[in-house]
Amino acid sequence: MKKIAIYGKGGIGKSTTTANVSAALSEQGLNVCQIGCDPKNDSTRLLLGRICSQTVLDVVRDKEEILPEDIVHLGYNGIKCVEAGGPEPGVGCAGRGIIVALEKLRSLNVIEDEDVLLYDVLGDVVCGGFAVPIREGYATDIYIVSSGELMSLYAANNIAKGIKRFALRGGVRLGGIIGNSRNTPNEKNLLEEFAKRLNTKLVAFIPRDVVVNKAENNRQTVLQYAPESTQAQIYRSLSKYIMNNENLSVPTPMSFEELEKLVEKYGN
Amino acid sequence: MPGVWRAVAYTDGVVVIFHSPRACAHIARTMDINTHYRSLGEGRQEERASVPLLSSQLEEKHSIFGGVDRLRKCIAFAIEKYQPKCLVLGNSCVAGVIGDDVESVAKEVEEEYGLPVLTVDSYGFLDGEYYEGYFEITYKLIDRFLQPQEHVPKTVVLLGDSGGPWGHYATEATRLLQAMGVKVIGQFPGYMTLEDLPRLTSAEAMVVLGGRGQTHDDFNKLTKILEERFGLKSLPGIYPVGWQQTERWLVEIGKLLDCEAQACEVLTKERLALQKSLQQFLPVTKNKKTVLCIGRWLMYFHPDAVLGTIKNLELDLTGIILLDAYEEEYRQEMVAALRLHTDVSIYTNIDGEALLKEADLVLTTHELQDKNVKQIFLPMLPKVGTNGEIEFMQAIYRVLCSRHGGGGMIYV
Repeated sequence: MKKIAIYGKGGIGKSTTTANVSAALSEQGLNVCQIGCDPKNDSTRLLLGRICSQTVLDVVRDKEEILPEDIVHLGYNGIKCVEAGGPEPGVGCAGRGIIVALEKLRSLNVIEDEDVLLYDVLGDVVCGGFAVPIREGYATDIYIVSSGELMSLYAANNIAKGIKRFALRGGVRLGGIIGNSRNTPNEKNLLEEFAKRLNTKLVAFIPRDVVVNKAENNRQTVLQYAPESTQAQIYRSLSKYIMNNENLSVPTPMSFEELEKLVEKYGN
Repeated sequence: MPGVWRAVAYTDGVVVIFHSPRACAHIARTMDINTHYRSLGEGRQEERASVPLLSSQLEEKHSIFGGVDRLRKCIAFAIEKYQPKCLVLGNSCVAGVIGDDVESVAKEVEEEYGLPVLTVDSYGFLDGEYYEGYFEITYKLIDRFLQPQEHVPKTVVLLGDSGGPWGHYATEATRLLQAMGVKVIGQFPGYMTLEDLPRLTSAEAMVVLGGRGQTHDDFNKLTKILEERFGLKSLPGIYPVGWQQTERWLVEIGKLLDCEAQACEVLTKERLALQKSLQQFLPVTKNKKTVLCIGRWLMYFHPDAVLGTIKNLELDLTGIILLDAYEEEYRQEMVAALRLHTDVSIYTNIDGEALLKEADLVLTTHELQDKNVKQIFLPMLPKVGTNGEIEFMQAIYRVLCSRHGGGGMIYV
C-alpha cells in the first residue's frame, strides 16, 4: 500500500489537490482511500458531493460501539472517504483528536486492502497531534503544497523541519513540493529553487484556473466536472508521478532569513 | 490540585471539584487517608472529616471536544447533593492543555445559583508544584470572605497546614500560646469553617506554622497581605524549631502581643522542663562520637537547630559529611551556613568514611546504606517547641541506650 500525506499552509489548496489526485488514482483502477485530518471535515467534500456527515470523532463521542460502515463513506468512483473530525472552533484539542481518530481507524482495520492511502492534513504541523501521520508510520511519502507567497513557503519550510525530525528515526521521506499557483512573480522558478534548497524537487506546478472554482462550487473534483480539461490532465500527471516516485529525500530546511532572501531574489 | 484541595480540605461548607480525569483525585485522597492513619498512629483522635471532593471525570473524548459541559454536569450534581456554600474548582493538566474555559463556567454558576465559585489559574502539575494552587485559593478566600474589623487583644490565628490543628506543630504552638494567655481562634487556610472564616480578621496577630523552607516566601507574602489589608500583626521569619529558636519565638510573641511578663514566665518553665530532660539524657549522650550527614539544600534544611541539639546534649561532633547529592553552588551555600555555627571539619562521602566507622551515632538527612552505625533521620519538617526538642533529644538518648550493635534508621 502506498501511504501518502499532503501538508501545506491553511487555504493553499491541499484538499482540492488531494481530492483531485485521489480521483485521478481511482481512474487508474486503483483502490483509493482519502482521510481528512482537519476538524473542518471538508477534505472529502468534492469526492462525496457534500460535507461528510459522520466523522470518526463524532462516532467516538456518540457511540459505544463503532462499526467500519459508521466512519467509511463511499465517494466518487468508489473512493473510500474518511474524515477524522474534531471539536468546534475554540474548544478542546484538535491535535489530540487526530491522534485518537487515527488510532481508532487502525484498531478497526477498516483500511486494509487499498492500493493508495492519502492523508490530507490541516495546515502547519502546529502540535504533536498533526505530526502523527508522519510520526507513527501512517504515511511514508510526504508532499507539501505551496504557492510562491512568502508565508506559504514559510509554512512549507516548517513542515519540512517536522519531516526531517521524524525522518531521522523512521522511514518517512519528503516526496516533493506541489506548486499551487497564486500567480505571484516568477512563481514556478521560485518554487523550483525552494524545492532544491529543501533537497527535493517541484513535482508539479498547478496553474490557477477558474475551472477549479467552478468544480468546487458544484461539489465535484475537476476530473468529474471537466474531465477533458487541461487542469484535469495536470492532476492525472501528478497522480502518476506520486505513484511512481522513488526519489524521496530527507529535507534540509532553511532559516527564515534565508527564505526571505530567496523570495526577495525572485521579486516577491 | 492537591494543594487546592488542601487549602479548603476541612473548611466545612465547601465542596471541591477537580476538573480532571478521575485518577487525579487519587493524590488528594491519599493525603486524606495518610492524615487519618497518622492520627491513629500517634494515638490522636481526628477531629473532623474532610469536605467532599469530586472529579468531573474527564475522559478521552473530553480531551478532544472540550470538557466544560462535563464540568457543568458535575457542578449541578455537587450542588444538588451537597448544597455547598462555596465551590472550589481545581484544574488538571488536561484542562490546561485543551484550554477549557473554567473561569466562564464559574461565572455562569455564580449567576445561576448565587454561589461563590473559586477557581485557580494553575493547572495540575503543569505549574510544577503543590503550593501554587494552595496559595492561589488562600488569596481568593481572603478576597471573597474577609473584611476588616476590630481586633480582639491576645488572640491569634495560625497560618499554614503542618498536619492541621491535631498535628504536632499546631498543638505545640497552641500549648505555648495558651500558656501565655493567648487564645488561638483558628487555623487558616483549610481548618476554619466558612461560617467561622470572617472571624479570622478579629485576631490581633498571626502565627505562621512553617519554617525557612520552600514556603517561607509564600507565607511572607500572605502575612504581608493580611497585615496591610486587615491590620493583623506578625512575626516574620521566626519559627520555634530547636530550643534557641523556641526561646526567641516566645520572647518575640510576648513583645508582639504585649505580654512579655507572661512570655518570660513561660520561657522559664519551658527551660526548666528542657533542663530536667537534659539531666536524664546527658549521662548517656555526653561525649558520644556523632557525625552529621547533610544532603539537602539549605532552603530545605537549616543546620542551626540540630547543631544546637548536639551542643545541648554535649555530643562530640567529630565531623560533618556533605553528601554527594549537592551541586557545587548549593554545597558552598550549606558550608557557609555551617560555618556560622561551627568550625568542625566538613568532609565528602569518601573522606568521611573513616569517621562513620568510629561514630556512636549518625544524624542524617538521607539513609546511609550498608553502614553498621546507628542512624537517626532528620525530617523535612522537624518537630517544634520545647516538646519537639525534648522528643528529638529523647530519640537520640534511646538510640544510644540501645544495646543493638548498629545499622538501621530511626525516624523521629
